[in-house]
Amino acid sequence: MKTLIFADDGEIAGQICSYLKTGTENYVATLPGEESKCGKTGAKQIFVLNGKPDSSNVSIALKELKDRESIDYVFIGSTAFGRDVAGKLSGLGNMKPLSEITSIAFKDGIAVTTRFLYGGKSVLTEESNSNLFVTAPGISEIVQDKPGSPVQQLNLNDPAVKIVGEEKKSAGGVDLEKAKVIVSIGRGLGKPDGIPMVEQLAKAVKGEIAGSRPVCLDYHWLSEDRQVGLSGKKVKPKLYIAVGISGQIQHIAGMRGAKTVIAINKDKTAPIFEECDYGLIGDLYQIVPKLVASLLA
Amino acid sequence: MMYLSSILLLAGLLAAAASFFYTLYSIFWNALRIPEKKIKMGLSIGRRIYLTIRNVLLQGKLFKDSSGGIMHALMFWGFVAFAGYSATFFARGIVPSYQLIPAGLFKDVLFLTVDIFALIVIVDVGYAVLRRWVIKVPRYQGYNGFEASFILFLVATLMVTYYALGVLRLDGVSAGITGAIMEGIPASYTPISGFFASLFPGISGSSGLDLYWILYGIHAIDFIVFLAYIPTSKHLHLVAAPLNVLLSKDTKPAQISLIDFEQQKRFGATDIRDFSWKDYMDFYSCTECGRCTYNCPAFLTGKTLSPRDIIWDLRKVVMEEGPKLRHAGIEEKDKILTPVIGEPISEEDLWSCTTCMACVEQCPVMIDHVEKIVDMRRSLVLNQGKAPKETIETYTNMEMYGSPWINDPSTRGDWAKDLNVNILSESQNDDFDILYWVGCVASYDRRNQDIAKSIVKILQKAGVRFAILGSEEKCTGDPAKRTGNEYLAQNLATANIETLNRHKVHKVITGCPHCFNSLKNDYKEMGLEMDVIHHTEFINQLISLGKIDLKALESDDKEKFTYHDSCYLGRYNKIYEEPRTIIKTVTSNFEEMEMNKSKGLCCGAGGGRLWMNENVGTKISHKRMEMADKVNATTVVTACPYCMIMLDDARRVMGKDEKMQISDISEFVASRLVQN
Amino acid sequence: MPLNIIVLIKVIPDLEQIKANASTGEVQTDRIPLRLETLSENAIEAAVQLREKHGGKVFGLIFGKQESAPLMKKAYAMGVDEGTVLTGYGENNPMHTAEVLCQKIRTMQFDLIISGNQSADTYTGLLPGIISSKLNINLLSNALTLSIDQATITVRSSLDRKIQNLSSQLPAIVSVTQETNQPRLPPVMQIMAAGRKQIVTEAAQVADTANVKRISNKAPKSERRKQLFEKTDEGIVAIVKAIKEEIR
Repeated sequence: MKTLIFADDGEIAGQICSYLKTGTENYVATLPGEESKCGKTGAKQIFVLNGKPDSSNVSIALKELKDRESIDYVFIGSTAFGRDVAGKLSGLGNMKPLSEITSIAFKDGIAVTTRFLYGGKSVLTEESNSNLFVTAPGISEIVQDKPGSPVQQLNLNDPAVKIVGEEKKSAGGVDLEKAKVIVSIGRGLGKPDGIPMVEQLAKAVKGEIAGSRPVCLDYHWLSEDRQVGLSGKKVKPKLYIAVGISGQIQHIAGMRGAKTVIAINKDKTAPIFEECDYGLIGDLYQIVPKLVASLLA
Repeated sequence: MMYLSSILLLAGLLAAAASFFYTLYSIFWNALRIPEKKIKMGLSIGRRIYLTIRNVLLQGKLFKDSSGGIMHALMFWGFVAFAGYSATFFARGIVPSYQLIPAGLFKDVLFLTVDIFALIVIVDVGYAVLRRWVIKVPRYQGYNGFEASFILFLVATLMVTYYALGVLRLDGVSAGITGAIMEGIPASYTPISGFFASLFPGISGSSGLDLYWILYGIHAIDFIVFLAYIPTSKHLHLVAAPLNVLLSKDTKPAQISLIDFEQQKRFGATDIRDFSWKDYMDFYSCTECGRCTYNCPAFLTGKTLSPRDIIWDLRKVVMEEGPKLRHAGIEEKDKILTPVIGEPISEEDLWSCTTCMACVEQCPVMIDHVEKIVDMRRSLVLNQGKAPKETIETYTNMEMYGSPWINDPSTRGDWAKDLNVNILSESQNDDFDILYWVGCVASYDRRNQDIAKSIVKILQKAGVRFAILGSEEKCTGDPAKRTGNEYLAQNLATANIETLNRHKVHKVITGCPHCFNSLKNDYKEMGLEMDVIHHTEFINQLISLGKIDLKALESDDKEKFTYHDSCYLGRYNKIYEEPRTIIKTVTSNFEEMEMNKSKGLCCGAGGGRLWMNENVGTKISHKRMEMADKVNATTVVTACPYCMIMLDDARRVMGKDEKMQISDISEFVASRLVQN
Repeated sequence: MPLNIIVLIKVIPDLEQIKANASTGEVQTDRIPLRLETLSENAIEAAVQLREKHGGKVFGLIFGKQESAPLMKKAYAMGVDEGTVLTGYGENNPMHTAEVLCQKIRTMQFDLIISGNQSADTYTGLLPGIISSKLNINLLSNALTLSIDQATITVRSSLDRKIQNLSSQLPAIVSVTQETNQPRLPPVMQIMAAGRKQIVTEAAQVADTANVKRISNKAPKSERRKQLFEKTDEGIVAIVKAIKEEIR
């Protein structure tokens, strides 16, 4: 069974490769500069796609690789670019795609997969003969314990659209997916003036600050790349402290992987209390300073 | 000489009168021809006469600001008396032998009144100058320009020359000549003039006469200028305000007109045609006194909203575009009229209003600012789909979930599940006497669910057979209506009315003043007749009927209670005493905050503000909590879930939650019920 | 240049009201009120804004079920000029959805197709790419802004770690995000006019080649401890202990 794994983020390609482990012969394709992130995850071969990538030329390249190497299954890391590529490739190769899978197992040539539906309100378990799996980031920890995979450079065609310019997103260098501790804030904070107080807490627990969708996208109290949720980052820290987060299901979907969840909220009925290990009901402006003091004591 | 003066006087007077009436004509042309908004005049003649006597003759509403009010009332009464004098003055001036008012006691008393009031008016002018330029009363600041000074100057000159003429009148010198109107009035009836006369040395006949003519001329010119100036200045209120009071639209100015979406083509107020003639009378009646603005919670906490400026800006647009339209022809409206929103009235100001009615309550000439603001909000929402982002989200939720928040409607009655309550959406059992309308906040918000539970406890204790609608209840539409989304408000109201009729509801109790006002007043206008009672009234009735008894808690001795008035309960529906009576049956440890009852400061949540961000200035709720702190309150009693949310939040954010709690009147009662 | 814009509109059950059966855990979607997917609203808004600027026509396409049809009124109210509801939607199957839509689109004149980049219910995000391949037109995805000059479209495309400025000749397909715009509240006149507009319904001509079998559809189980504290001090003691264990 041969698989072709593509992700524009080498990390995600590595996660998929690590997840599939043995039993499959994995080929990885990624963009220049990303190959080292998945270099020792056991891929039979890593293809680096050089040129000006767009969803069109990458999907063409993947189709050629798939045909050339007689690939059985294609896995594509679910990023904005990855989903575009997956769509283009599905149309191009008339494939049978399945989206946003969070686990997969093969049983007599049938893929048994799970994925979230209805914004995280349900988990679908499905059986299919799909051959293209768009894979949610973080399907597994990345394990770099194999010998380095051979790397082959490939050239992409010219892009179909004109890429006029490019700018990096103003990321604060934060990598929430890797963070071990996250302190996350929600609308319940009420005002951006409360952030320094939460930063004290983050400092005390050596964690990263993250936020819910409204905090990052609607109010811009935090940058976009700190958003945890279905439409943001899916995180797996050991400790997740939710401060003033009500726990809309879309948010829960982003932090379900956390090991221990602590919630602070004034509303006893907030759904976050259904999704936490420890919950403290009360005013966060009182609780957080006390908590910081106790942690530092 | 006498002949010439008569002609000059007559000519001057006629010119002033012509100018006066021409300006009035153009102003009333504006009011009668431009407006397209139709209004209902739902007030009885008796009520109108009462309001006119109270608020015009007796200057009733002015005394809400006592110092300024007394000043104005004295000035007003002085002017009424002075009108008689002036009429006589000009009559005699034109036809020297003509006695407008025949000699006799009436005339003597009139002159006595004038003689006294003229002095009061002079003192008044002095006081006004003091207030405006020395004490610098805040609400006049920025409004002390030419107009204010010029009017005071004219008034003072008029009074001073009156006395001067009175001093010089002294019989024998000016007697029998033009304007010598005091002739024949016994000196004892002009004591002040007499007193001034005694201060000055006598003057020879000829030089006295010259001086007399000069003063006479000044007095006459002053009057003529005043007459011509009135309708072009804020002193138009001399004409407009009494009319405005007499033509009051309704006893409930807060009632916002319905829109017939099938018939009407223009929604809300976009330009000046979209106001009613009564709105124009409001514009004309405004004196720029600023009582509205200085009682406006938004203004008092640093927002730029000023109800005075809203009225005055609209008036300016009317005065500017009215004449253009009159000359070009009424059919040229589309070309000439310009939108009033954006410039001069900013959208931000329109959205800052909490519709608390403090401005309307304070206005001495009965202007309704709030309806105009809501009408302009309507223009934005209904024609352009413009509203603050959070408000638009609120609309979506109300449409989707029948609640301003994202709430699963099927869980609306869940709070009552274990309380042995008849939930109609589940039981469909219409065997009840009274419907408890819970409202969205008490249904879904955890803090406010305690209020709902307290109300249930009280009703059950009193043996009331009641039911709740459960998932069949929807938002009454109040937040939509007050933010200008009349379309959504009517859709919700229609759905609720259908539900209420289906369950044959004829009596409703509610714990939310916003629901209360909607059900009682707005729904009535849509044809639903029900007996609607707020829980403060109902609990008060239960106590006085002996259905429930209250007993103070031991801790009450150590407490200090105060009551925060809800605008929609107080100013909108005049319920001020019931909650206070309830508290005082239990404890005497009660103190009023400043700004209470009809002057009560809003919590900041009305008019859809609960769902908007308050980012400019200080938060209104914080200002209110400071007031509670000033009287050392330990418990602030409220009767409105909106107030509960706002004040409870302010209390926490301000770090006052250790020493102060917010308690709904129902919780206050439920925790003090005598069990027997 | 007046534009013929096709906007792809998705109708979904309101996620807020979806509940799991308390005993079986199976998620139930029947009788849940339907709504326009929020990104579809962004797509409509983007299309309407382009029409307001350049003239032309916005054509709405819904692929859904019979019950989805009334939702077209909302699209009309938001400014869609004409619309067709294609019925026959089964389960989430992007290849089938794309084929149904493409069959209809091939019969139409268009300069631009606009859709949401991902839908809130299935979170698939493949449709723009598939349609792009099937119709052989360029895809400009995840637009933060989009503008058209003559026959050229320019898009600021938001990828995970960078923003690209893309341009392409028309016709093309653009996917929008929630950041693209803030859908306006429809004016009442438009709502009322929408109520009088006709909704055309057509049965989809392509059979669903479902290759996926659903085994279960259950609410995710939470295995959290759910220890709640109302007393702050007591809670802090417990929490500090838990935190110290995790960050040791």
